Amino acid sequence: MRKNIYVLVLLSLMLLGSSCNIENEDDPINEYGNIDLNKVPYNKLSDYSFFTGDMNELNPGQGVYSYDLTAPLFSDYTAKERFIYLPEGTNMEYQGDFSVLNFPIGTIIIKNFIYYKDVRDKSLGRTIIETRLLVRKETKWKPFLYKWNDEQTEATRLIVGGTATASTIIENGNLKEITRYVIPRELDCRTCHNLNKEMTPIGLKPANLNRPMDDDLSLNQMDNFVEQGILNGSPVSMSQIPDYSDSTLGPIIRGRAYLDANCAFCHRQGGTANANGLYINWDFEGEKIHTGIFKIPTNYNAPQLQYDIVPGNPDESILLYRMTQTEAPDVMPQIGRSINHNEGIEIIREYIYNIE
Amino acid sequence: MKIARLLQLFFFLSIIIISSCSDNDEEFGDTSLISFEEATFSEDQFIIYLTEDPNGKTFSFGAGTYNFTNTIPLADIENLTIKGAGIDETYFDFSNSASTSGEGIAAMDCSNLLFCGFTIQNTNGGNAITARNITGLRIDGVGTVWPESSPDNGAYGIYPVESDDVIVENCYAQAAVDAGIYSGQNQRVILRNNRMTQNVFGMEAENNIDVEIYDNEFYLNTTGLLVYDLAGVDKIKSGSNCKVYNNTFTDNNQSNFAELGSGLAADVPPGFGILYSATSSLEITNNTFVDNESGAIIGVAYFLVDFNFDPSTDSLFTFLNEDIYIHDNSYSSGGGTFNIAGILDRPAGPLVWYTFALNGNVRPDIFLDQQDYTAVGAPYAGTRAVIEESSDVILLEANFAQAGENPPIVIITSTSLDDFTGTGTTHSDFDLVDVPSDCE
Repeated sequence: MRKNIYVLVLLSLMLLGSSCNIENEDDPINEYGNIDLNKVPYNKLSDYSFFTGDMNELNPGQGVYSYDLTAPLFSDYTAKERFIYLPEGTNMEYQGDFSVLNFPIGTIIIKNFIYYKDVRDKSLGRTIIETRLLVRKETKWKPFLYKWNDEQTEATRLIVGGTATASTIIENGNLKEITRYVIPRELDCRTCHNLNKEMTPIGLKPANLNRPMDDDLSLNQMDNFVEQGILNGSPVSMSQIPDYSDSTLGPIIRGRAYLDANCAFCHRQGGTANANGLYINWDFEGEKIHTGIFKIPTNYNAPQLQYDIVPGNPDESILLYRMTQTEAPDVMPQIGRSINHNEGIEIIREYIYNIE
Repeated sequence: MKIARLLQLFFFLSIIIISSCSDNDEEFGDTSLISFEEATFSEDQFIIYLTEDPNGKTFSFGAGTYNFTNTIPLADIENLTIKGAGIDETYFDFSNSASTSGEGIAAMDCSNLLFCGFTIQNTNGGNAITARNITGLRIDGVGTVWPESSPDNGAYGIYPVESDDVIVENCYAQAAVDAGIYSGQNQRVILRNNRMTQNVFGMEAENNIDVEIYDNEFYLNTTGLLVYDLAGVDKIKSGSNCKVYNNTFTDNNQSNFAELGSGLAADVPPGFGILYSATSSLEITNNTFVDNESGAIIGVAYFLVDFNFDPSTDSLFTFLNEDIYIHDNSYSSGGGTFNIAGILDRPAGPLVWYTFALNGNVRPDIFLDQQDYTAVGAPYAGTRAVIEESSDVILLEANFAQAGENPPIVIITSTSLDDFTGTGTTHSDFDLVDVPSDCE
């Protein structure tokens, strides 16, 4: 009798298990626990079930949260849609205004690189080029890259990188042709995502997240994380990196915000370019030479130029010169940009011009 | 009996199948050795290996030329060897690389890296080998070559930086537009038995602690060796304890081919064996200087490297030379070309030329900056080097405190070795902690 019950229980458990499976197959909504960290990286982006409905709509499923940054990195005029996947019952922790949030094991940061036909009218259509994942596997972060197919129905893992072409009309109405968009190799991610010898996310620091929600300007993004129960420990008041595209702000503030987002992931203490001694993160406090003013670079010979920044003289400053280059070895940043960011160049020109 | 034979056959077949599957493994079952041959090499396959499980692997490249389309990235790896069939046998060519850093190999945050027996050629403007934050690095029998002395060449051939326990030996570096072999912000470094030619600097040691440079040959560079500290770096503000011995410096008089005005290396006039600046605890001994026609050794304060330098912007940086000990070297000159055109072509050249003229056109073997700025009201006055050389060695010391004036004011302060006596600071021995064993 006992034995029979045991068998029955077992049978029903099996039934339950299989019915759950059937449910999953019918409806690929991301149920918590769907992502088996041991099996990551999956070969297909759809295997993660991050998104509901048509995957290319990028509608986040359960456990997937969208976020935006005030000061983003320029990447050949791509638009980016960013998400965080958190395992069920976990949350992020505040650990300083300028420190990346502490994420639980199993976190996946999802960044989609997109070209709109015309960013001023998004209904005209778009192409998702690639989706980059940063996965917190145990204690280390690992990068995995997925390239979208032409049909925009699936993205497949691509370890060895590749190139793409695209065109887009940007905010000011100019057409930008990107003839050599580079999808990096997974190994290249480490070049920028690096702090004190460890791979790390870059943008997800409170000072860059502390901003109104895109879809509800009355709601602060950090407060919203707290309300959703996915962020612990954040203080009432936090620093805020300004929006460098805001032309009502002063040139020094705009310049420093731009450098923080576009250069400081390497050019900060503990970053990949630590050896160069140029520290241009927003929160750097240290000796003046590290800001680049009358600083000779360690590993670069620029034609006719001697210093990273010559105050008041943008055209004699290596920092600006390298922003205007697109070829090896002059181009900065060294990966992720194949055409000039003309708006950024103007911000830095004004910045250097106004340094005393 | 029949079954036994079948089993035997099956076993035999399975070995064939398995071994054919794993033809990248030189020895059956040894998954740590991955061998590549020129004819079948796939760069993508190599990158996949490096991405998925590179720890403990040896990548062996047979003789031939391997064309790369991008930088070889190495990150977060413990114990890795890249070896070729020999410095003149295996070539990694980057002529067609699309890398935007322009580098050949770029390694970061690794421990125990070993590179041996290959030559990297034609990197597109970047360093042939950059190695950042490596603990335990041995580069043995590696060439870094550009075919001609062109300003478009890479800045450095071999460039280890912010690393601990570094050996560069038996290497050959040609035509780097800054330095053939470099060591910067490293601790415990040995650079030995290398050959450097046709570079702007043959070799450069910048902001290191504990260095030995010996048994190297420097020839036909603009200047042989640079030992100095650069302002504005963080990890090691001031280098110390460097010993340069048993090297030969021959005919380093090549015109500087770096694009004029492009940084420090481009400023250097030709003709010196060793240039040192802003460094401390440097011992130069038992070297042979032949036909370096601007002077075997030149030592200057940082102000001559960077006229605009403001010490208050980098308060921990030491910009004067301290504890320099030069002794028992061999000097000869006159057999090479005193490259006047090449000297006057560079920003610091006229000052060199002018000082020689002040000295009755007698060119020195040892040419030193007095490092005394008190005459212009600055509180900086350095100590003199200790020099023990035979009495026929020609010395020239000058005060350059007002060299930035227009016209420059230069005052000759000594031409006598007797002003440079004292007790020299000898090099402190150090042990490398953990470096991969050699290639055999």
